[in-house]
Formats: sequence, C-alpha cells, structure tokens
Amino acid sequence: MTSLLVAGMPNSGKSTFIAALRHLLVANEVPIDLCLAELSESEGHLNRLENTWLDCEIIERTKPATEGWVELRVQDKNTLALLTLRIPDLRGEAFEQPACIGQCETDLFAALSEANGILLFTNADREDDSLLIDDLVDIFGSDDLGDADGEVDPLAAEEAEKSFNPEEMPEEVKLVEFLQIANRRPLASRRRKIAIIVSAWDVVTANERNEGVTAAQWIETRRPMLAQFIAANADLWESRVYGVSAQGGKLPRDKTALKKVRRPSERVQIIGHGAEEHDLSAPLRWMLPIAN
Amino acid sequence: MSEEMDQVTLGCKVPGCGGPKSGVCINGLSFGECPDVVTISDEAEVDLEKPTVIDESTGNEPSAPSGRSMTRTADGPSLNGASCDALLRQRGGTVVGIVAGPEAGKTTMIATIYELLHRGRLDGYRFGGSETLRGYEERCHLARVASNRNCPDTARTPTHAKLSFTHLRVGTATGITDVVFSDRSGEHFDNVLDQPAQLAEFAELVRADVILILVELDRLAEHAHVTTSYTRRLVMAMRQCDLLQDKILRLVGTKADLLEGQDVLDETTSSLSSLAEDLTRRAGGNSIFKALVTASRRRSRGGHVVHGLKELLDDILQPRAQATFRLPKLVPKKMTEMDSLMFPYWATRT
Repeated sequence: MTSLLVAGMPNSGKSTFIAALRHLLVANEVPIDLCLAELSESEGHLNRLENTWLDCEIIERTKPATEGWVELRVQDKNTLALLTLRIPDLRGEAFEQPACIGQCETDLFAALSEANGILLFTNADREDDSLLIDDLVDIFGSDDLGDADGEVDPLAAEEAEKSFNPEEMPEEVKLVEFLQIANRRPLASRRRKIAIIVSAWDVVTANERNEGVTAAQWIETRRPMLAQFIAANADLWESRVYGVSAQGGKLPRDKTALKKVRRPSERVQIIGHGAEEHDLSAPLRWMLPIAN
Repeated sequence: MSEEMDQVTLGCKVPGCGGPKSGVCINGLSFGECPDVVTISDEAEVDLEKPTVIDESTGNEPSAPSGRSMTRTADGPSLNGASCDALLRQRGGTVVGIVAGPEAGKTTMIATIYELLHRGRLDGYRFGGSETLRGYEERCHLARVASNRNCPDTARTPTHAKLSFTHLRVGTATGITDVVFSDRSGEHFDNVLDQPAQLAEFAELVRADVILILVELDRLAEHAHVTTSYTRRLVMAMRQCDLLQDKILRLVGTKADLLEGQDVLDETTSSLSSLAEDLTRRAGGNSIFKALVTASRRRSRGGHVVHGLKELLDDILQPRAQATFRLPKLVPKKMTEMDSLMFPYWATRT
C-alpha cells in the first residue's frame, strides 16, 4: 500500500481536492494518468464528499466527527500498475498542533512518518496573516495608523491589543513546523517528495497582475518562508508546485455557472509540471513509485 | 440553571477548541450535542490549556483530554540549556551569547533577524528552518498587524524568565548552518555586576562562539559616561571570568532609528567605535572588539530603515577556526591487558 499524506491548515482545500479527485477517477471523462481500479471496502466518506462537490456546494470544514482515512484503489494508465493509496482526510487543526502545542496526534504522526509523499495545501484566497505593522506604515503612512499627529493613545492601544495566541500564528509557520517534525528525532530523516498545492488558483489567475505567473513563482513571493524552507532543505524535500482550482470557481458566487458545466470533471483546473488541464492525479502519480 | 450559566462550567476536551468558553464548537454542534463538551472545574480548565508533556520517568506518551493519543514533537517554544545542548551535539552550530542590560533591544534584534530572514529580506541568506518557531512568533507578535497595535513593540523578557535560546537554520552560499541566540533578562546582567564572579555561571557565554555586547545608541548619546562605564564593567567581568578568549566579539549599537539627525548618528557611531577600541586596548590586544550599528525598527515612512542586521549575520557566520579540543592524557594506575593494548591508540589520539 502506498501512503500519501494530504496536509494543510483549516480551509486550505484538502477535502475539495479529494472530492474532485474521486470524481475524476470514477468518471474517467477527461485525460488523466490514473483511473479507479475498484472500490474499497469503505467508501462512505468519499461518497459524501463527491456528492457535495457535484452539487456545487461548499464542502464544510472537516470536523472530528467527519474525519476519514480514504482508500483509493487506482491503476496507472501507462504502466497498468495497481496501487492502493491511503490518504487521511483530517481536520486542519490536527496539522496546527505541532506548531501550537508541540504535539501531534499519534495516528497523524505515524502517517507522516510512513508517507511516501506529501500533498501540502495552501489557499491562495486568504489574506496575508503575517503582515508587519512596519509594512502597513509603508502602505498607508504612519499618520493613518494613529491620530492626526501620528500619535497613538496608549490607553486605547492597550485596550485594542491582542495578546499572542498560538492558534493565530501564520499559516506558513504551522506548515513549516509540521514538515520539520517529519525529519526530527525520534524519526530518522529521509528524502521525501512533496507536492505543494496552491488551491483556489482561479483567484490568482483572475487577477490581471498575475498574468503568466507560475505556481512556483507565486509560492516564492507569497509564501517565502515555505519556499525558502523547501529550497534550503532540498536534500530532504524533492518538491513540485502546482496551482489547482478543484472547485472551478468561488462558491456560492459561481454555483450557477459551475452547475452548467456539462462534464463536471472540466470544472477542475491544474497547472504545473506538464499536468493535463484537468488531471488532479498528476501530482499523485509523480509521487508514486511507478513514476520512477 | 440556565444554559448560559452552564457554559461557565463547561469545557472542551479537544485541544485547540475553545468550546463553550469561546462560544464556538469545533465540531459545529450545539454544546448540548457535542460529545467533547465536559463539565470541568476552573482548575481543570487551566490544565487543558497547558501542553501535555511526556512523563520523563516512564516515557509514556501523553493522551489528549479527548482520549486521542498524542506524540510530543517539540520541547517547547524556546530551547532551554539542556535542549540547546542536545541540538548542538546533534547538528553543531554557532552559539551567539548576547550581553545587554534591560531594554537594550536584545529580543527585538533576535526577532527582527528572524522576520527579515523568513521574508527573504536578507541578501545572501535564506530561511532553512527553526526549532523555536513558536518562540520567535511570540517575540514577533507585537510587531505584527495581528496584535492590533498601531506601532510595533517587543515584549520584555521578564526578570524571572530563565535563560532561553532561539534557533535558526540559515541557508548560506556554502550550505546550511545552525545558529542559536541566547536570551536572558537584562536584569540578570545588572545584578551580576554587583558580584562579577557570578558571570562565570552564565553558561551561554562560556559556550558562545560569538559574543554580542549591546549598547543602546540613544542612551550612549544622552548618557555617554554611564553607558560607557556599564559596558566597561561588563567586559571587565567577562575578562576576569575568562569568557572572551577565542571568541568573535562585537559591540553592537542598537536603536539607531531613535537618533534624530545624521549628525547625532555620526557622533554616536564615532563614540561607539571609540568604546570598541578602548575595550580592545584594555583587553591587551588579545580580544578584538568591533563596533556595529544597527536599527531593528523603522520609525516612519521614508525615515530610518532597518539596517546593520545583515552585516551582523555576516560577522556571526564568518568562517572561523574550529575550536581545538584535546582529550586529557589519563593513564590508569594499574594497567589491564586491555589498557596495554589500547595505550598506543590513546597516545596517538592525545
């Protein structure tokens, strides 16, 4: 059995990706590298995800009650090799815990240890969560942050001040710490493949300023900590970056348009490393032993 | 009892969920339905906030309150002496001992180096990881928009805080290297000047490869004699405790951004350089102090910019001779046959 880990913080698009992937594998209606060979013994979780995705409904955040270990029995179309993929669909909070409390759920820790590859998700459609006050001064000027004289009422500032809450640390910090524990004692370091998935890629391409930007370039500028970490530790991480729009648009805004797509698989978009337009299985196939 | 009152005594077993206290259920259920909601005493509620720690005596892994088995993945937000030592034994690295009185800008300097590094704003260096990410984040919080502040600040290291270390893995042109920065309360240095011999117990300075002595430039400008005397006494105490030998020594002027005008900056920079020369002379030429001016904050748009930290990192990470470590030549009084066989080996090794 080949274990892949789908990792990412809450609302990073993990479950939507799994739902769309499941549909692509079953439907086999667009060119993709893998197809579903057979159903596994427990398909309930996948069925619910796929149905929600097909209905163009927002897939709710994964909760403890809805977590699931997904099993996909797939076949590589080129080599005809049969593989069973075991992918946990866990709530994002589980991936935050190493950074926030210095602990990891034992099941997840074991999965990380055993994983042949990691799909790491980051959502392009979220605000900068590590902005410096100094950077804000650059944008708006100091006068705009204080009163007319640029002075700040200390009492008002004290009242408004938010104390440090580890759960509100930037996403990149949590992702890097999660990756670090894969090579920290007691685990032995080893080289792994990691596919960084920039989800909600349609939001990036919708912005004219991003015309021609690749997912790798986007990561370097928008997730510099993660990009540097991966590059600096190239002896431990063989990486690729993909831009993915698993939903095909923003819900509920684009629901009507998405419902009209004749073949739902065509809602899916992926770019990077020569992946076919709708082939969400491309990063998986790259991480599987057959790809070598 | 009303539901509102009930919720005062209710807590959540799931780590990371504020539960009834926060009004939000991580499971998206009402608090009456959620199986993770429990009645707790105030004392137990406090315990839920604390990270669970492995029982060192038994080695048992902790269990989350919800019953989920948890594995410890880090020793804490920052490194203590023991965990820093373990890290250095495992990976090696450069130890930077920071010497400074209260509010000299130690924590701000450490935090700003981290901020610049992970944002890719230090030319020639890149972020390669850290064993103390949470520790850095805590130190950086008040300079972030997330703190809701209007101007950046740094939380003071409390007097009661023990010696701690932050760690950075830095990618350089020649590979990855590890750096740990010591962080201890400035009051410790104030106090130790009354009993200078106790400075020998400052473990970070004993182990340091690089010692940074911080001097607040605004204080140097306004109270030159007091500041100079304080720094001299610190250096004298370090020399008497034999803490300066074979170390890279830097006299780091901090808070250059607080100096108003180029003239004041030039004059104060000159004073700092003179002090560095004076300290070198007093050390008899055996220890060379080099002055470096830094600003870890920007004051306003178009005003002072952060500077000096790249140069500081250049100095910290400069190639240096490996410390020589010699095994003592100890020979057993009564040699066994095995000792006799090993003797030639010992002789060559020592």
